[in-house]
Amino acid sequence: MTCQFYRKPWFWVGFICFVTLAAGLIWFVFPVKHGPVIQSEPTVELPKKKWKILHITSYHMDWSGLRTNFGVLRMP
Amino acid sequence: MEWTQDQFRGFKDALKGLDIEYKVFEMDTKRKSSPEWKEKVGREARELIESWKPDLVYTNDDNAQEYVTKYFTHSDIPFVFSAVNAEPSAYGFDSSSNICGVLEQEHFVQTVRLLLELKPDIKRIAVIVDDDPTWNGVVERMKQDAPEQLKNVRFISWNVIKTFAEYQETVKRLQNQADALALLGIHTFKNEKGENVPWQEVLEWTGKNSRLPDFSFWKDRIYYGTLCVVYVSGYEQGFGAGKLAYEILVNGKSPASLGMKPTLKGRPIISLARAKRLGIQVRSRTLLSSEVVHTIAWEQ
Repeated sequence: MTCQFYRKPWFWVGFICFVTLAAGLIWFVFPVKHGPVIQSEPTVELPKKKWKILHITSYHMDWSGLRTNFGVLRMP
Repeated sequence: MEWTQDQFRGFKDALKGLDIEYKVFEMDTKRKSSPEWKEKVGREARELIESWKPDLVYTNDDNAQEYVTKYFTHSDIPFVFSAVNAEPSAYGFDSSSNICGVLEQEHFVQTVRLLLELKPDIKRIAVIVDDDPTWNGVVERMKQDAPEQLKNVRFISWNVIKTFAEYQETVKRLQNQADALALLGIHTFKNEKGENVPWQEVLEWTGKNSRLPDFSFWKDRIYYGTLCVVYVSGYEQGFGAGKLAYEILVNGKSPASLGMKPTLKGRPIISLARAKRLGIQVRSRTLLSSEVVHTIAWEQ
């Protein structure tokens, strides 16, 4: 009687496990790179410039009506 | 002053998104107009520039140019101005490498045309101006434009006035000589103590004692009873200056390459309350094309 093991379920279970393990091994040991390799340029964070602006008005302001959340300093 | 605040608000809006530390120096030369005061605050402002070393200076109106900016022509600090009435050459800006800005050229002809829409029989206009040198440029432009563009109207007198008493006397005298008044500078009329009478008080007296229609070029006058104005927007002046500042700071442009131009748009505004006091019927067409103010501050 011929052993027709390919008809046994345990054969296919074992086969699938083997193929999966083999593929996993190949994936980790010989990683396949798909498509072109894109290496990102190293980014340098430029320091954000803080500008100093002096506003000289000939007249005067009614400060009650001004929004004051601009870091405005009143002089003199 | 609304005029000053509108400019500063426009300037800041044009630079939105940038990290900016502002300092504001108020020369306060409307309320204190003596030459000594102007010299003193001008010197203080110049010292502040030297000590604080700003990246850019934004100046507005003429006194700041006369007492501050003029001293920094050809310096390394960029200056941007707005609301300057005089010709740039008056301050030596035309040949300077570090100065640019927005000129304020009043809508004189349009304002008189608005006045004529309200009262078509006006033929004689008297001009009143205080002794602040700011008005020299305005008066010169009016004298230049009037004969060519306003052929049916005659400017009968140009009154330079120093005291409030002189102003009262002049306005009373003009009631029989003129059909309308152009009220330009009304900020430095002195009272008996030598102090400036607030312009709001000047307009209150005018509204109660003059039966002549009057006009000016600045929006804030309307709320105190001036009949009509085609005004230069302070916000647009400041916004224009802010855009120039952006080009200098962010895009690295030289101020000299940006030039000096006036804003063009004029906005008509009418005091309906004053029109009623003067017995003027305003046509609906005029009302629809203008901003309308229904009250006068001193009536409330």
